[in-house]
Amino acid sequence: MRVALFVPCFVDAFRPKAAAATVEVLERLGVTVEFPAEQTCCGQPQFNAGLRDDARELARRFVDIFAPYDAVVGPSGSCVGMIRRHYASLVGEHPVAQRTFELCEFLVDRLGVVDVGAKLQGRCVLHVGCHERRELGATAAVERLVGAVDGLTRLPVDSDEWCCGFGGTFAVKFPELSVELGRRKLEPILRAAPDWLVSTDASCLLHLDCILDRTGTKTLRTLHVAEVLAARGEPPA
Amino acid sequence: MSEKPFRRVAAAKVAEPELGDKVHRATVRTVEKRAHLVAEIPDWESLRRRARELRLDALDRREKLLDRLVRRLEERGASVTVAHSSEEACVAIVRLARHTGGEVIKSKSMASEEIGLNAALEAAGVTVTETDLGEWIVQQARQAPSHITAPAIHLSVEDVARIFHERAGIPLPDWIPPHPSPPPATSYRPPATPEPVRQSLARDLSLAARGILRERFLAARTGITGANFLVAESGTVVLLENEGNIRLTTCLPRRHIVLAGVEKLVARDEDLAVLLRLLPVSATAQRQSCYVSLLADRHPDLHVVLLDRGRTALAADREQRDLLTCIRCGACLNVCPVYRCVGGHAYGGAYAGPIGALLLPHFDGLERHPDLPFASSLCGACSETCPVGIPLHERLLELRARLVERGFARDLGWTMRRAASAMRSPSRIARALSLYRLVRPLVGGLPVARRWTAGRALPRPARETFRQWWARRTDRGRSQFSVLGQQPEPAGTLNRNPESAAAQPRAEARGSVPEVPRGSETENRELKTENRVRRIAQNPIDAFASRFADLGPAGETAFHHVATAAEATAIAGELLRGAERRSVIVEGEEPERREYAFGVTGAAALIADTGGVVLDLRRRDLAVPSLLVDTHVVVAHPSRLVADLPAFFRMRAEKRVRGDWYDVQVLVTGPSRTADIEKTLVIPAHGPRRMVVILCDEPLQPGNLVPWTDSG
Repeated sequence: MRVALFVPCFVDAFRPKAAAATVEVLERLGVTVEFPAEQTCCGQPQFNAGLRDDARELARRFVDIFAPYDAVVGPSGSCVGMIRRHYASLVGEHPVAQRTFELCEFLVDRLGVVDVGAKLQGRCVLHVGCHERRELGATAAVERLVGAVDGLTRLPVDSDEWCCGFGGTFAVKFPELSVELGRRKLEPILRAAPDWLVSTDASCLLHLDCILDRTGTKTLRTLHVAEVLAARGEPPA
Repeated sequence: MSEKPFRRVAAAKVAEPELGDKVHRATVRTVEKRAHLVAEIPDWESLRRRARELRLDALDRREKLLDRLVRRLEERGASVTVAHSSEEACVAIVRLARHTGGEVIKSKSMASEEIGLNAALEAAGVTVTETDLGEWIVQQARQAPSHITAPAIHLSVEDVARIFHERAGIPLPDWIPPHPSPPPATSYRPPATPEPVRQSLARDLSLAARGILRERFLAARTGITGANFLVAESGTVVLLENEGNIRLTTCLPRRHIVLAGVEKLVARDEDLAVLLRLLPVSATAQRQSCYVSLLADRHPDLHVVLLDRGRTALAADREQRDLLTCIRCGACLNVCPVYRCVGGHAYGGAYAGPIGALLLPHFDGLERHPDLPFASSLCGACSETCPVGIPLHERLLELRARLVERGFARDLGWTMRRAASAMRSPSRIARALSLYRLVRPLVGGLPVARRWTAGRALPRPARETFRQWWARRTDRGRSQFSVLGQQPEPAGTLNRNPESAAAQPRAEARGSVPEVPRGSETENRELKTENRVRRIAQNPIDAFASRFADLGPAGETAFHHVATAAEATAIAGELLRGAERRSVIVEGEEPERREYAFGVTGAAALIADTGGVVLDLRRRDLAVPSLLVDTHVVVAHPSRLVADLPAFFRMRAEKRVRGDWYDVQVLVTGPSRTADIEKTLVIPAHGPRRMVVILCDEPLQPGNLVPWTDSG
């Protein structure tokens, strides 16, 4: 089985560790991944902005680049949700879209692995991104993987299922609103005072990190779920 | 005409002290209650699917169904007007309301908000009083409702107390300052005043409103209502409520005007068995609303105004027509993170939340609300919750594309097109990123960046992109592999925990596209449905008793099952001890237009699954014994029990065909109630405070239950 790694554009630039950790987790499980270097973006920002032609161009690009592979795995529920659930409206039903998986659902549903042998001491709040939760229906897979991490305790909070307020285009079209959603999402999390806020989506974390950064909150650190699954006991850097 | 852009309104609403807190508290409470209830309804998903099918079917056959409805209504002497615009609808209703002279009372109607009916009536010199508590509150405050089912959701109990003080002279409690002193906008603390104090005030205010409105009900000459559904097959006007204000509005005034959007059409009476199970759960987290009125009577003065206003055009829109299947439950507002922060007024029209962001552009014109389809983070919570399965967030995405096509969404178009162009090759991305690294420390304060930096720092790019890391790693070979500062693993080691892998229920790799394992869940739910049906069938009396008890959380309901008429009479005697004859009204007596202490009626049916009592009325004003009373006593034989709503509708169809039942049925599910102030449950609202059901194994007429011989 040829497995391609799909690294969303903002993960590449802003949270490369999530992608590197994805590689590590997969290789540990005996999966060799390839990284098609021509890949860029899934087209979600354009699609959400209503620019269907621009989005279509990027969608075509994506399915062409990843066509040779048996499976495509990426560390983002949001981008994978775009590909699996919305590409059909741009390029028609396409086999590549149906072979594209978010990391957690690939591990649990395709590889049948729930315990990846990760070890991380501490307490976390888990934010399953909205598209991971609702478009991919993969909440259970994420929760099982995180639940199996040795030493990690999950703290449930009231805002577990709430949106972080990023929303791509939404974040720049309505900045005050986007920040407000983020602050409301964060408030119960900060009260629970976990060691980490863990998410399936680097975009949610990027937005929340920027709010925390601005408010000067240094106590909460964010981790991508791939970084958690790659951890071997040492607190991630 | 262009509205104030949503962005600016939303920013102001976010800054408004406490608004988001108030809306969050109320919506979160409803969403939690609803989730518990849905978990107890095993066939929920299949109900949603059936509802979508039958609503789409009605839409497809709308012309035929509309003809049929109009025929049925006219056969019964009603006048029917189809209005194509707000103006047409207002003109028709103003004419009808002025004709009777005197006061107009009105129950909640979103269509009336849509057309600005109250303003039109007032301009014509007609006094109109809203009778739903939430609507009355916002009317007193000279505001518009901010939620489809909870109009005063944006007001705290303190706000309501101030409004009542100012408008109705009701004294303000000591702990409420006459003018609000806003706390700092950053605090999300719960209100300082303890919950029991707030709830007690909410109760006092609700009851005060009941007293004030009682006079209006008794004085009114015209009643205006909306309609939740209009059944083409039978011409039935269906109205759901909790307070009893709709029943009073349809029963007491001489003239009844119905205003409803043409999309309220459903084909068959049996369709209600599906819709009436979904709507109360989604709207107010109740298994059944307190009152469901099914009006198919020959009314001497009934007028139906059907509002088109863009509906026909939307029905022809293949992509978006399912927006017309909406049943106005408001569930999408409750779960929407945007709505929770800004409330309903921000949307600039009668409808708010995700459905508002879709309907307003369709009804008012896309150009009037160019921001609304963008007013969503696309979290999808709306689509997930919608009881009729409208994929709301996908509809928003489609409207965004239309806005772009028509040139209404220019502000981000340029940026996004530049971004798309950068995404055409990795080297272009690399160049853009280098540029960003260079300018990031400088641009934070510039207008170009402010759309991000209002409340957020600019994101920090990593020192090395993944792409660079990957290239380096490939160059040096895998022994250099190091992530997160850890030691490399020996090649070929598979760190799968063998024990846990063996314990996996789904340890085998699956070849096909993964799906959430719904099979077993579906079977499980079907089993639960069967169990529920069997449990009710085996012991309908217990099922009814337990549901009925739940309807009076503080003892407002009582249930007795007795073997003999003598025992039933003894219970009634105890209840009525010391009551004057004139304070008791018994079914069959001609009611006066006043309040009674006790009303005694029979029941045409009892619904075990909801604890509901069905009244079958020859005339609307014969509702008095079950409505204008403090205690409603129902006596019925166990043979009147039916399992659930579908069974009731089957029974109704048979009885009506055979002429055994009249043309007005009311499903009464517990004493009247409201929760319009901070979601505090208050019993009573406008109807009875208490309900007593006496199930008697011997046949017994209501008249035989009371100790006076003159009745019955």
